[in-house]
Amino acid sequence: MSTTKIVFGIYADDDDLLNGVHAFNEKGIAINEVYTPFPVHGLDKALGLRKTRISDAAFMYAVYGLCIGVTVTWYTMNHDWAQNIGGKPSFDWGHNMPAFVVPMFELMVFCAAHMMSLTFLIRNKMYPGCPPQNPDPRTTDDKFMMEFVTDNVDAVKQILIDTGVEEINVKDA
Amino acid sequence: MVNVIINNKKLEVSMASNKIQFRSIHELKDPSLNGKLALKEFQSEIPVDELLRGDQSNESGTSRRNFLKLLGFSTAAVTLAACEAPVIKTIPYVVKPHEIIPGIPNYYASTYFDGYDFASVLVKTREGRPIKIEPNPMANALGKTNARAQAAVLSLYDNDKVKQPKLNGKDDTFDSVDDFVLKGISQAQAAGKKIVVLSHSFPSPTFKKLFADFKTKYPSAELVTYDAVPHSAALDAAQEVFGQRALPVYDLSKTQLVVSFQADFLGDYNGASLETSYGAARKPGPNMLRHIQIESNLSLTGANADTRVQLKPSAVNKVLIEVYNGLNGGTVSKEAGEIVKELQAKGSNAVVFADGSKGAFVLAHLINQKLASSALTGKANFLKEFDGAKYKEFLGWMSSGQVGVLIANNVNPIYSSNKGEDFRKALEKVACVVAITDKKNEMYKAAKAVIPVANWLESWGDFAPQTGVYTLMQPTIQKIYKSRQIEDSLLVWMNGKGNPANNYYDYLKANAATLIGGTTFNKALYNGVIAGGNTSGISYTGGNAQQAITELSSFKSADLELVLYTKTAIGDGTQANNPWLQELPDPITRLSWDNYLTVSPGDAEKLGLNNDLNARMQLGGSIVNLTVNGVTIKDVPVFVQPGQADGSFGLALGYGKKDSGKVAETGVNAYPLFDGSNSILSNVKIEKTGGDHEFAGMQLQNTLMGRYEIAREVPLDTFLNVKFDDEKLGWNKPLEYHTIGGAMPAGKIDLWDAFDDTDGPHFNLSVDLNSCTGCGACVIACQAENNVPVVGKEEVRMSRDMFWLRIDRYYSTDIPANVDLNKDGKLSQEEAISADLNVPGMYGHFLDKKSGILNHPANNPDVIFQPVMCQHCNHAPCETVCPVAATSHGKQGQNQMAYNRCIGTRYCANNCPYKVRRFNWFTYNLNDKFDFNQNNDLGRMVLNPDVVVRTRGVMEKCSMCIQMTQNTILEAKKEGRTIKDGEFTTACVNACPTTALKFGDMNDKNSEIRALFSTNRRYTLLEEIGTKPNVFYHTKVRNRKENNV
Amino acid sequence: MSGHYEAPIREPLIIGHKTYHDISEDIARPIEERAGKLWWVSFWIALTLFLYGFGCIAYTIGTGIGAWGLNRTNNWGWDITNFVWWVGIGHAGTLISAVLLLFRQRWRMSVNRSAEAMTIFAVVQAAIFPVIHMGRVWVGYWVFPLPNQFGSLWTNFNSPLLWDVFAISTYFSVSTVFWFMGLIPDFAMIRDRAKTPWTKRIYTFLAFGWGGKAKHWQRFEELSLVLAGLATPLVFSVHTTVSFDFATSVIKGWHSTIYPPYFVAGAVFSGFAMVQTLLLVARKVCHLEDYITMYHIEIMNIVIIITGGMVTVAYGTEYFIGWYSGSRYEDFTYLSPGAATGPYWWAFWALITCNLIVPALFWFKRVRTNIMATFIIALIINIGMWFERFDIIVINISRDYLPSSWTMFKPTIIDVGVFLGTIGFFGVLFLLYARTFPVIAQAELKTILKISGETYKTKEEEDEHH
Repeated sequence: MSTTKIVFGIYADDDDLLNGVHAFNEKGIAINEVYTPFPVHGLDKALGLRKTRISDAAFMYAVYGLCIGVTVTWYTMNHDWAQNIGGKPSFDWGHNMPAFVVPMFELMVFCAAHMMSLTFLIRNKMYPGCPPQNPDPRTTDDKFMMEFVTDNVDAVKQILIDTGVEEINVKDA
Repeated sequence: MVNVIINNKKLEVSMASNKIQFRSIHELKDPSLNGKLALKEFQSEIPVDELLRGDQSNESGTSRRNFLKLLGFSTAAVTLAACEAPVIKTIPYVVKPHEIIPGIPNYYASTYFDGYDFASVLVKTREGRPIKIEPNPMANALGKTNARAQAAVLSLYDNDKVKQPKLNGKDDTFDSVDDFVLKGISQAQAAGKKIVVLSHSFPSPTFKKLFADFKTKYPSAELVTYDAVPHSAALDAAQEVFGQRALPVYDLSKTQLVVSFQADFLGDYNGASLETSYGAARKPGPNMLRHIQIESNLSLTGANADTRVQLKPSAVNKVLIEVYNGLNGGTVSKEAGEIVKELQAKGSNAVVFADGSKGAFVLAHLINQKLASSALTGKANFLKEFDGAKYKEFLGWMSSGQVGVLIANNVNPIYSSNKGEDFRKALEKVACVVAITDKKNEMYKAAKAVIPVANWLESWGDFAPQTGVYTLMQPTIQKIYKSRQIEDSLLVWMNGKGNPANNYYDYLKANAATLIGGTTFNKALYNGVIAGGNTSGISYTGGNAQQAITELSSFKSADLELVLYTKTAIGDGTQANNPWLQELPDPITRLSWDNYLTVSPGDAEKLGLNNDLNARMQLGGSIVNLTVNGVTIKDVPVFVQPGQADGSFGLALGYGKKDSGKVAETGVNAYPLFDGSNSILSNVKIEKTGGDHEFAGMQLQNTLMGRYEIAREVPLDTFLNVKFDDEKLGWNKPLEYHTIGGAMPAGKIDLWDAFDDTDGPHFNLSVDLNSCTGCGACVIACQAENNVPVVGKEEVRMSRDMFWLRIDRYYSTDIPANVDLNKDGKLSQEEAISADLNVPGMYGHFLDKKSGILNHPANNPDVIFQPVMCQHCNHAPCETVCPVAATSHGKQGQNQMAYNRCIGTRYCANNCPYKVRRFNWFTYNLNDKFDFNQNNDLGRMVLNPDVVVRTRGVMEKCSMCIQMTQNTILEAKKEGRTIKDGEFTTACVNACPTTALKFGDMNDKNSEIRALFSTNRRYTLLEEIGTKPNVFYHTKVRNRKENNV
Repeated sequence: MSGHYEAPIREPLIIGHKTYHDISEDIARPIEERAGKLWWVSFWIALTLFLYGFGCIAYTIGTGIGAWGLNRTNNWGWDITNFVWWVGIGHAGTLISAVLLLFRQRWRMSVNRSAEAMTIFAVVQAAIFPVIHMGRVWVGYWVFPLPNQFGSLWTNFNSPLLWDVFAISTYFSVSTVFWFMGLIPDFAMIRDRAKTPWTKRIYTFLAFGWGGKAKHWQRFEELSLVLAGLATPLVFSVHTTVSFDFATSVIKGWHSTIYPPYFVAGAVFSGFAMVQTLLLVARKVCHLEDYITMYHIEIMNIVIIITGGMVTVAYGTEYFIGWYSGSRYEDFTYLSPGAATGPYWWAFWALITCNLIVPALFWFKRVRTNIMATFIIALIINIGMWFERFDIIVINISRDYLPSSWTMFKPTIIDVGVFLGTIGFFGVLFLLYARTFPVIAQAELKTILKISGETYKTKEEEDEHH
């Protein structure tokens, strides 16, 4: 039988939480997850999380939107059925382009914003009606919770207590 | 055979034969199946029940599923209903008439004569319906159409017409009516009473002959002429001067000076307009016609004058007398003296017109005789036949009960004379009154027997309008109702019923042969007009000046005098029930749907009468009761008219017809003031009543606000002696912009590469402000050609008129002495500001002097007319802003409008600097709120099948009659030839009697339009905006020294 | 805690000695308690107006645009006036949440949620007008470049109106997304406090299962930052595009290069005024005095002073150019006293008074720190900005190039009804929002509790004394 247990340490204050994280880092004990009611500054560094690449994705989406803008305007206005509209030069896209700046820009922003948000939801595995991902409802109010998956429960408990944890729960994995 | 594919089912519609195709054995068994299927094709009502039954039809009641279904369905249904198009069944010819090819118009030469107007015309018919009246080029001046002639085709489809012969007020047959009349005639003969045919002027040789035959059959028969506006003074004068009751025919094309006293010779003075020759003589040049007008009302003619003197009638008479005396060596006052000098200088190249009483006409004739005026052609005009004496005699017979039978041919003295009531009473003494009438009017009510008039488009006839001219009238459509022209009736009453000779066509043909000389009847019919008819001319035989002068001087001058006039649109009121004419704005006042008392600003102030504008810039006016010689007309609205002579009023005849249809009811009836001879009345009294009349005005801003470059004009001297682009004095300097590369002509500066429009035609339209008299024929022509709806008084008042082509009218403003004007002699806004003349009011009404000098028309303003239609800009502001590209530019230069793509954002109309786009605010057809011709099946027969009727919510505008130009191109293609210059045309260009409008192909190297484009009078409207229009204008030239007189 | 240090002289953004839990309590209270009388009264009023307006819209679509007071010369009147006005109002929201986020303005946190809500609701109202002002609403979808059975039948990308279609729809959807993403953690908070099963179910649905994991927070902040970065140019582009409707036309008085900045400034001006109006009410109704403090109100008043100044400068410039252009038409519009003395004088002076004179009172600290005064002036500014749009549209086209077509516009009862209707609709939406949404971004707020909360500030001061 495995001795692996899940330990939840619940702090009342974000500063204590940060201390805790640092303490565990020193001891080299891996923290499985941290749940906080608000973004605690420095936490991601403390946990050594890699910088998210979601903004890079946004850039690609923007480029994609721009391409759509260019294609649509070129196809409808200059290729498929070029008309003489108020004498504006519809011979080729280059001549006509200044008139298309606004829609192209809007399409760019549109794609970037929406597709980025979608990416965000997908990467977080979030969707309408998804069951709460936080084990303890208090973590969206005013509690800060660390989650460990460990065999060495006592060590974890000890450090938690040292760093002024408020409450500790242990569960079987 | 035409294959129509509907819902993927193929119906075979057989056009030229009556054989039935069966597609299956079942149809053969049950022929009606075909029809049933056809019905299914166009199922219009929404099959809710079927849908609800759906798959579980066994379920009873509405289940939840059904409810939800219905919910969803109803939403869908609403959406569908919105875009559901009505299905109209069309019936193909069973046996096609050989001369009719569906889709191809036929033109027939005919003569338009309704007892008031006369014109030799071409009638355009489509599938057997007359839809348009065009001028007959073979008839020259007589072939020109004015607004009323253009609109006459709609009067054919008047839904308020009498549709049935009637006897004693009940619908009945011709047969019994004839019995009744024949009985009446025999009784009259037995009693030795007269049989009177009372008709409007009827210059038809064959009708005359017919009546002569009638009289030989019935010796007691009499033909009496009655006209609402009879020109009797003119005829009496002619009787005296020329020895015959015929008006002289004038030709102004060689004339260099016209002096007109009250004579509205561009209107219906002299029975026929002089516009054509006037327009020809007005071509700018050393010998350009100079036009002096001395008048009381501001008439259309006066508006075109170079020098206009406004005096009240009595004063006008004085000047006329003085001018006569002056020419005969008498002593004269200053202004009369100047006129005399000018007349003497021009000698035989001058002509004088006068209107009013007999004396005025006589003097004018004698002056012309004295001048040996070349404007008199020696020809006679036979269009007007009224004889006051004869008519008076007839009234005597009637009141003394000597008339046994009265056949009233389309006349209504009860409405149109000051003795209406007496006439009605006298009628009671006539045993047999037959009214040949087209309206349920007073005569209709008074008559025992009623015969509907056959419209001129349904009738045969011939006319001798003037010396040596003979025209024919032919039916262009089967009689729409049970109507019969008077000639046919007379034949029946003459020959008895069922006589084979009762056929006016044969009778006409036989008689015409004697009048048309060599040519065959059909040839004559084909041309519509040929030489022949009455060949007797006209020449001076006498004339008593002294008598005339005494008569003129006997006209008592009073503080307030009244001039009755006829309007450009309504004339004597014959077509008062024609919505096109009622909506056509008066060229001077720009008001539609009304007549009113025109009052000078001075008098208005004195008498406490006013016009005011409300927050929608809608015009309101005081209301007065008008009393002349004991006769009172109640509730006459007042319009303050710049250019109206102080001490004089004007009031139009022909309005306020109570029993001639809804449309004709508008306005007040002025005939009770009109004794048939004197249109000028003295000792007029008015009393202001409460209340404010609501006018429907097209244009409420009357001046150019100093924007003279919009409607340009130049004095003749400047035009002749100064280069148009002269550095300092140039009167039509091309617009230049100062660019980095120096001064550049505006046309050359362009942000974009131009599109190539060199292959195929590129259309331009030229508008000559100098020839445009503002007659409005083009406006009606446009309305008829392009199915432009009538919107009615309320909507016009809301500034929601639908005219594709409008004629703007601007008044000049007074220029105070203390301003030093720039070279163009016009007071510009900048000058007004710098001269600190209580600044140009932006919004004020012209009555309100405080509202700014530029806003306030001169007391005797110059008038300039400017037709404005879509300018078909090559850089059209409207096109760029349409989100759905519903309007874009055609290769031929048109700014095209795709109605069924339009979503109605109205952005294009906002962005149009010329404001020529018109929006369909409501549904104007088949809508009882707009109960005009497009709301009944009959009225819709006038619609032009080549032009779509626009739906609610779309924008519309001038298309440069693309359906006409395309047709020209296709015809040429079929015949495999190139198009000659002048073949391309539009409705407005066709209608213009003075050739002010010209149309053509700029890519045709030697086309007239190209020549016009390169003349020095040419300018572009609002050129600085850079819209590069395909319409251009020509500066007006005023034939006088100074800019302001 | 260096990260938590803030100069003590700064006024606290959160008053009262709050803990994290207190914040949750305060924010959740309006949602969990039953609505007060005041709320119900205002809700019914708003609903009535909304329904009346809806009727007027139905009537217009049924009979035709002729139901409005428009004519052949004034083809736009109240419809586009209201459109521009509502769009303008929308701007403050995005500006506050996006621009101020980029500038790390902490004071925004108390107000951005409601401001954004206002944005979205205002844009909804704005969007109504371009739709119903169409002569043929039922084919309105043609403004999108959809493939169609007619073949090569596309929209016209040269048209500013089409630019509007793209700008407005993008603006609306992006701000909605921005707003909703910000809401997720707060929904989660309410979800986790929810007692009744229904509220639980609803907020579980809305919270998307948010759990506040460290990585998620990291992504969340990145997302807000980038969305803000996108929304900032967007908010400027939208009213610029709206101004193009006029600036790119050839109508004198419309054809003016100053319009884009002028419109944007005007938009922010009116937007902040509207934020003030609404927040001062919400503050009272939802008892949020501790979070929306006098400092917030004052700082927003200062923004109003600045943007108001910009607008004033724009007016001046317009007049100057009107004269300088030498075009008699421009000259005519601006220099001739017509606008000021003609029949539209009231509109003109309403504009001057409401946008120039009255807001100048904010230069006095006593005025801009007075709740009642702020509320009234904010209302006046909203009225003034409406008149600005009315003047631009109606006065200019009622007197354009050819004097012959000059005429004037006067609204009909239907025009008025439609406008009132949108105000009602806006009210309905906002009131419902105030009852069901966390009106303040509590998660964000908690991050600054230690920095700018009263408790901690005072603590810090004590530390320094010892």
